Amino acid sequence: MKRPEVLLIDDEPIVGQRLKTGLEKMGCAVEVSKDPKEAMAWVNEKRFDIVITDIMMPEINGIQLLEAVKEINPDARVIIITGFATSELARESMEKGAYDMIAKPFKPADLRAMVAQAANEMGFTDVTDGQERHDA
Amino acid sequence: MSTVAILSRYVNESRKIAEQTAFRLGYPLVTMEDLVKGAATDWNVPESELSEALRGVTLYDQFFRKRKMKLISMMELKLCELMVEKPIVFCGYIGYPIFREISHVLEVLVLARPESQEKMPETEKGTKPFADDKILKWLKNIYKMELEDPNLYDLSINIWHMDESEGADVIINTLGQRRFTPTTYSKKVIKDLELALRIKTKLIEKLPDVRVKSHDNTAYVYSKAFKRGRKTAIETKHAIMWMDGVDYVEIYKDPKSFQSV
Amino acid sequence: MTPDENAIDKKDGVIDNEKELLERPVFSFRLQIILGFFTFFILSVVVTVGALIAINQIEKKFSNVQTWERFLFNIEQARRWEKNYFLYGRNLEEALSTTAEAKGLLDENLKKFEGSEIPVYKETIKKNLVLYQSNLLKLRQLERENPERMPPVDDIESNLRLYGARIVNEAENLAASEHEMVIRWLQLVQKVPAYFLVFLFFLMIYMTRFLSRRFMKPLKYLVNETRRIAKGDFTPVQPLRKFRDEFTTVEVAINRMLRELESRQNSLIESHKLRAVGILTAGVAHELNNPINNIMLTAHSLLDEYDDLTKPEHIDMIKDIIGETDRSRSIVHNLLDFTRENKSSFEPIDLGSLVEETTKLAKNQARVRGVPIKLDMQSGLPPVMGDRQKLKQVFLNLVLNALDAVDKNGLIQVRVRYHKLNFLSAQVEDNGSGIDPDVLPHIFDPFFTTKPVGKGTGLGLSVSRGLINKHGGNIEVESRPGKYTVFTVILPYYPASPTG
Ligand SMILES: Nc1ncnc2c1ncn2[C@@H]1O[C@H](COP(=O)(O)OP(=O)(O)O)[C@@H](O)[C@H]1O
Ligand SMILES: [Mg+2]
Repeated sequence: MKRPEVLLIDDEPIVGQRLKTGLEKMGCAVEVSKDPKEAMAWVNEKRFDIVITDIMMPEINGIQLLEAVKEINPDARVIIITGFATSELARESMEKGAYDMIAKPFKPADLRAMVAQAANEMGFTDVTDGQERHDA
Repeated sequence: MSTVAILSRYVNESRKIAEQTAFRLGYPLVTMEDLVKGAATDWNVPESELSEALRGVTLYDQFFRKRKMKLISMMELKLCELMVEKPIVFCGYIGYPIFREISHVLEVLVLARPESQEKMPETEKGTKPFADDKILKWLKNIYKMELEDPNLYDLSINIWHMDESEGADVIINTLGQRRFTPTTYSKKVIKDLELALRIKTKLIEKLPDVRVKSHDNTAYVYSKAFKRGRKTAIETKHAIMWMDGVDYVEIYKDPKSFQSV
Repeated sequence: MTPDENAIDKKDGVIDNEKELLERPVFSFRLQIILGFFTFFILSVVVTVGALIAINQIEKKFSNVQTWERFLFNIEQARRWEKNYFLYGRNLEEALSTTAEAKGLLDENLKKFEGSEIPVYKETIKKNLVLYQSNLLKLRQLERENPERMPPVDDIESNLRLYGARIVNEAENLAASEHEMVIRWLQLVQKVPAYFLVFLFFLMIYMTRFLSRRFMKPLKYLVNETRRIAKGDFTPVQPLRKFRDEFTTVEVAINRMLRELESRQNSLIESHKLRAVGILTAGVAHELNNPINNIMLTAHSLLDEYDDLTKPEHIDMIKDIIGETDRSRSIVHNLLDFTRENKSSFEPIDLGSLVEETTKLAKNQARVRGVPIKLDMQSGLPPVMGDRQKLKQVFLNLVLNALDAVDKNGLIQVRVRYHKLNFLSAQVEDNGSGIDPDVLPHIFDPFFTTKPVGKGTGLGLSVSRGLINKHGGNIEVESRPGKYTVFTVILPYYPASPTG
């Protein structure tokens, strides 16, 4: 069974901590980083299928990461998560090849649905978002 | 996927382009008449009254401005609801403030006039394009916007130099750009706008200067009237807190802090 | 006391001042000039009257001298007749008549001479004249009694000689002294205009200087005051004088203008603050999205995975929620702390942490722009006395200006450390556009801005300097165009050791 390689970058450590298990349960191989520099290095070493990144981070921002990812693996799906969502940012991210964008605060389920859809589109048919969930 | 909004005062020409575009994209075409009809059934008001509100700026309707704004708000809401459902091609001159907020709406300005002082050639049918200049006045009055300011649009095409299908080509090509792809965020924005418009429609007759925003089921409402006393604010809060989709209501009396939400 | 009440108080103060100014006694320049010329007129009148009196005196003395000369002439004539009588035995009658004539003259004028400066001789002269006359009469009687033969009259002759000589002598003396008097008066009349001219000359110099001083001093004062006002100091103008003149009206008008200006400036300062708040709230609203997202994710994770997690994990997650809630609260609190309208109160403040809090307010702006803000705080610094909100406003201005000045590769460095003597310094340095030397002298002027309309108000620095000066400190600037700009805020620390 092939598992999509997922990279999650946010300088807020809690984001990675909370989302990692959920994504793994869906059947993804998840790497988490809270340092965009470190993440940039990983991106250059390894092919990720799905990259989830924050935009506003120290030194390297999400758009730069997006560009780097798309350059190495044009097929990769990049999902933008940001607390500073604007219509301009959405257009810029999409133009540079992002797969989708979601504004903070979001529910983990929303992100999982996005990841599942991206994975399925890429042929990782085993990935499902079908976890049992309590209703919030 | 993405919505096309075509604004123009050249009613016939823009309509033809919109029809072509909608046909080729396989999207439904939404016109001003559709909004009038839709709002009429939704709110049970006569169509004639709604179309009246979309016409020029007479002294008479300035007098009934509150009512007029409510009718316009109803039609904007209809437009927004249609956009939430599915991608559309819209042709008309309403809803500019909505389109601005949504990254996956391609805003198109259609012009039909010779550039510079070219001699005025007769079109094939021997008619000049008809320009409805009342639209300019109406837009300035309602949205305080210049219809033909190209900076307000993603694309402006001049039908004088091309036919409808060429115009549709340009629009469809531009729409193909990735930047107009809908995102989870932009879809959420439409939903927020829809809720905000529903609230606005409800409040505007009482508070003509009301401004409404919504995020994640929280409604943010601004009006100068809230400065005068708590009573209006509390009444407003009560009026909308039981509406569908509203969890919380925040009242603002300072435009600056309202702007920052 | 709220700022509003403060404003009202100040207004009352100004009105009191105005009332007080207008209640002062009037001593206008018109009046002063009129008084000056009136003095001139009076003086001229006095001098003219004096001259008339003197001329009149001279006339009188002159006629006196003439009288004496006629008298003398008569006496001398009489004595010639008397001599003739003794030599040739005739002319006694003539002698007698001229003597009588002289006596008439004397009697006639004696009244006039009364009260004259030389009274003593008149009595003697009269006595001598009477004696002289009586001797002559005696002689005539003797002649009548003895028509053929005259008895010897040697004693009479010698008496006549004696009294005649005396009369002549005294009359000459009198005439001479009267003459002297005339000369004296004449000299006086000659000198007075000269003195008057000299006096007039000095008086005019004095008047000119006095009047021009009266004009120039308040004018100069007002010029200086307007300079002070131009620098943004709006304390009312205090007039130089205790009384009211035309300048009082100007001063009252200026003070009214000042009041107007001040209230305008206050509302501008407020709007400038609001603008900063607008920038900040936009950023803060977004900044809040991060902790809220963390809370949301953590809460959902707890809900979804509750049974799979261990108890310590539950506790960690709940602690995260509490921590993030705290963070949200402090973000909002920091902003509210800045926006809240509180009365100005001085308190000991740790400059380092105040500056740090302020940079946090601008952090979102900086992050949006991708500009790092580096902090370098010396530890263990003494506190400064100050108004938190005002100081925050100053540092926020400096940081926002720095943010405006830098481009993509911008870097902002903020330092707090010991300055010299009793001062601490807080520096905001950026590696942005720098400030042109032509522009540098003006940046603290109110309304000076190089930014486009709607972006700059030109009040940031002028307001900041005013606030820092009120704290007993100063703002300095150093810049190299295209390289860097450093603003240094110097504030006295507390308690300052008792020097100077
Ligand atoms: N850090 C800086 N770098 C370059 N120029 C500056 C800086 N700070 C202030 N200035 C100059 O000083 C002017 C006045 O600043 P300020 O009083 O804050 O008003 P404003 O920021 O509204 O223009 C600015 O317009 C700018 O030209
Ligand atoms: Mg400034």
